[in-house]
Amino acid sequence: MKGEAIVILLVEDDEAHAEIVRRNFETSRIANRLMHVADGQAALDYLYRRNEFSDPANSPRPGVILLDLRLPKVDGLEVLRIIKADPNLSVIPAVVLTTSQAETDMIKAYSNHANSYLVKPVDSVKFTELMETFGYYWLAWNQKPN
Amino acid sequence: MKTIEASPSRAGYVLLLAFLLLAAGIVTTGYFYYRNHERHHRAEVERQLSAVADLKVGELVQWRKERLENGDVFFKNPSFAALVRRLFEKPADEDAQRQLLDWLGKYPTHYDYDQIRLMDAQGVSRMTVPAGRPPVSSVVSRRIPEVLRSGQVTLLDFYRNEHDQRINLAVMVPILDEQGGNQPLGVLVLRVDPGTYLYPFIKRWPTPSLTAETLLVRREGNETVFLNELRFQTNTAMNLRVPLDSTTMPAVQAALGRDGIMEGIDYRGVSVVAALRTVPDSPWALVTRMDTAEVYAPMREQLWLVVILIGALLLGTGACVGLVWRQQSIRFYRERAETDNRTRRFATVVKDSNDAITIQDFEGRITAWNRGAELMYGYSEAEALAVNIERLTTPDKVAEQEDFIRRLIAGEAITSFETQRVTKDGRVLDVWMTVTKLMDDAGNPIGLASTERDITARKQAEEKLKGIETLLQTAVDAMPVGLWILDAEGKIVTSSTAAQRIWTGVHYVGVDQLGEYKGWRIDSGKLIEPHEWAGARALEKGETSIEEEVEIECFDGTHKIILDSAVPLRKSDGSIGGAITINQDITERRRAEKDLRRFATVVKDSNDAITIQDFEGRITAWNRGAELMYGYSEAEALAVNIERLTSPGKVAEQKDFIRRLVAGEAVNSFETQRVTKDGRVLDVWMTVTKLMDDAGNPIGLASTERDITARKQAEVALHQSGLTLQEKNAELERFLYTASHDLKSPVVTVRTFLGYLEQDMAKADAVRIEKDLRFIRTAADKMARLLDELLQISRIGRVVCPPVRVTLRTLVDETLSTVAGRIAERGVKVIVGEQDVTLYGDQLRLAEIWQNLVENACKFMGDQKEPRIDLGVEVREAEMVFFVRDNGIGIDPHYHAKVFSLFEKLDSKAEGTGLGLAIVKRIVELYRGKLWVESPGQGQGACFYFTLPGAEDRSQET
Repeated sequence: MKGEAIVILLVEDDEAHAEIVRRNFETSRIANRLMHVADGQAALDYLYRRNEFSDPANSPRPGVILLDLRLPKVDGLEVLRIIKADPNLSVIPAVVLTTSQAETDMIKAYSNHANSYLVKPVDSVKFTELMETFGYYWLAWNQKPN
Repeated sequence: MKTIEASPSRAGYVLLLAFLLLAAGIVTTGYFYYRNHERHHRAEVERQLSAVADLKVGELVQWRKERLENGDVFFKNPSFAALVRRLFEKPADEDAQRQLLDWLGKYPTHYDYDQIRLMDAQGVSRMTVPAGRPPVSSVVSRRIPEVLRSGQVTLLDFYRNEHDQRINLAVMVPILDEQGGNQPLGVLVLRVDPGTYLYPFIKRWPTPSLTAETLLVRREGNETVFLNELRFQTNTAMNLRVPLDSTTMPAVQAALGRDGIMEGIDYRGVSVVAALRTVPDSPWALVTRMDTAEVYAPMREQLWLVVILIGALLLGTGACVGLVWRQQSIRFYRERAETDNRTRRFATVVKDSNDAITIQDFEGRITAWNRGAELMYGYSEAEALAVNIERLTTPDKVAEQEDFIRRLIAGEAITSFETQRVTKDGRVLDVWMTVTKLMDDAGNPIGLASTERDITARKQAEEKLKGIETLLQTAVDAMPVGLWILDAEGKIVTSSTAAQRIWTGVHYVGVDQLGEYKGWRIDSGKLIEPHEWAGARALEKGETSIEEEVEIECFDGTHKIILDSAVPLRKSDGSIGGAITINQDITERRRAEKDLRRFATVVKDSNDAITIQDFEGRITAWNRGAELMYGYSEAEALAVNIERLTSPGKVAEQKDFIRRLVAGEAVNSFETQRVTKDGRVLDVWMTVTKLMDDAGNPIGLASTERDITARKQAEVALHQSGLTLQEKNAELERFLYTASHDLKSPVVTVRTFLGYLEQDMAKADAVRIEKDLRFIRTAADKMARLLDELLQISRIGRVVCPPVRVTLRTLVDETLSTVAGRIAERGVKVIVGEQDVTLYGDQLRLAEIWQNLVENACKFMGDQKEPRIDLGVEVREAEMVFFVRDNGIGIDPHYHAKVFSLFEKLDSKAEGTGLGLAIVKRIVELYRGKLWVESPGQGQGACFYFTLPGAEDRSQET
């Protein structure tokens, strides 16, 4: 596995936020590939290789999923529920990245087996820090089964 | 009679005992009083004796001391010793002789010395002052060597001078020649005559006394010597001697050295009280004494007084007791005389009594027999005294009578009983026997007195009457009404048990006392006077009264209502011989009637409909509540069947309910519906009761019905408003949540890209700068738009323009002109339906519906070659349904519900904030309408439908 870039699937409807995440991974030295989809339906299509993602070359299996909660078409929580109910997909760490600090959202996310819950900071430095730490933790330190 | 004593002697004993007790008390008190007094007196005397003794001892000691001091004047006096030596050496030395005479001559005159003598060591008198007295006593001469040896001034005690037989004392002063090595020169003797001072002093007694005196004694060997002259014996000084073993004598005890008080026998053999003292530094002892007789002399006087007083008291007490005894005996004898008189009178009565009065002893021997007994039993007195009482007893009653007598003697409180006797001619009599136990004076039973009355005739009459009475009473008691019988005098003689039950008792009284029966007339409320009762009127006026209604107060205080009837009883001659009164208790009936009347009023005036029907459904009762509720008057209702009132859908239900009720199920209330006369359907709450006849058979149904239509409607309204409120709350929550989330997103974007912008400007990366700025601008725009639309949403329903009448055509035209740019841009063909309707509402808000929907349709046209929008209205189930149909990208049925939520966008890339449909939904709901979407699927177009019932213009319809 070493040397091979870890694929991160970013599910984010806000183009600007997707850009922020992208930039952060670019500046950090962790080798990775960022795949971005804009809604819940697209995320599920990607993971199940359906429709436009039916070609495996376009949809490599992600090592981590970064998931926003408020998503068009299919809600983030619904996406989470589906993938965590699927024995094949449930092993992929799913990290929630959202602007919501609502307690109910956190509880719902964790009860749907979210592996982590991150709140987008309203500050560029902090956002950068968060993404760096995320990178180290999930991409460098965290051990995953093959 | 009450306090008569058993006998006068017994009373006497009691009085005598009382007297003895009193006398003993008086004597004891007197004795103790006297003893106490005596003790005090004796103590007083003893104190006096002791005081005198102490005084005299003190004087004697002083006297002795003075004598020795007189001696000391000469003792060891060098000039005196020198003079004496000169004289002894030269007896002729006249000068010395003269000087000594001068010196010594002073003493006999100033002190009680009767002679001073100067003697030389050999006992020869050399000088004597005054001269010419008898020669010196041998007692003195013998003591000279001893005095010289001792070298001390010595007091020579009482001694008798053998020459003149006088008694003297002497102070002996040794004269020592100091210049000659204390050579004894001689002795100076100062002779004391006790007669001058000492004896009178001892003899003196400070108070007048017949026997008191002082004794001075000293011990000489085994004897006590009296040193002074005594009061009652002469020539005792130095002569009277008593052996020491006469210890009863106070003088002896004093000589033996005892101090204190004693009682003893003195030298005269007389009893005395004495105080004993020893005189210190001397051989003397002193006794002050007084005869016991004198000591107790005043006490004897006291004793006499006490004795006289006691005697007087005893005499007085005795007199009182005697008086009482006399009075009691007088009363006793008077009472006995009266008793005797009475007894004599009694005896006459007894003798002449018609009752048989007999006396018998315990063996049954008859000892007395009066005339009544002779008449009753046929035995003369002489015959009776010869027979045993058993002759008179019927064989079957022997045991009974014996038992009675046994119990009587044993003390049981029984005196009378009914029994039978046999007469001389063999007839059996019923007798009422009263037996008294006779006692002798000592209280022992000695016999029995028996009074017997022949009650045979009475018994027979009683038996007969009892039979009739029993029969009558049985008949009377069997009657269900209370029955009273009054006799000719108006006295109540019979009452039935029912009568007693009604009045809770019975008073057998005459007409005049009928007031004890309290009653008031129901009609007038007046108290019934004794002679106003129906029974009294029947008796006195011959009136017959039928069922007069009376409220009575029973004997237990309760009140009842009765019917009082009475008829007179006429004898064969037509006169009135009594009356019968009949009482009937109707309290319960009246109460039930009253309750029923009250109840009927309640039922009649109830607001609930109360009806009665038979099992065929015929209405038999109909109250005012029913009239008001259903519109049928009572007369109308009684003519119809209940089914007329039942709403068609409920007939089966109501029949089933009644069937179950009649079958005995415990059901009585249920909710159902009724139809009024004018056809309205009412929700009612119905309570049904089964009616029974007196035999318990069901005869119909009573039904109470309450109109709950209003309540039901209110319930439904409340339920709906509750639902609406819940929805609103949920929406509000959603709104707040999404608003905060969606507003936060652009903030995150702006701030983060501002950070990037700084970095990129530092690097002067123009491409990145432009990109950063674009993101910031986009986010800021989005924020502005969001805030705009949120404001818009909040205004819906809050800011209201006055409603106006507006046609659908107008609204559609307005919309098309507003969004004309967008339509033209996409080249959309818009087709508006033929049908037009008029709406009534806020024109601006209503226009917003179409604007948003048409805008949306244009937005989601996709890559449709021939875009087209249809607008119009159609009628579905009597409802106006508006529609906006397009042939754009359509909506996946999955998302149909989601599209109307706040901020919801199915396509993240699509423009807008996702609030458009939410706004439409709010407006439609404001007009109580519904909004929904129909779309076969993606790429197949969509049609939005909505209704606006609140905006329909009713005025145009009709």
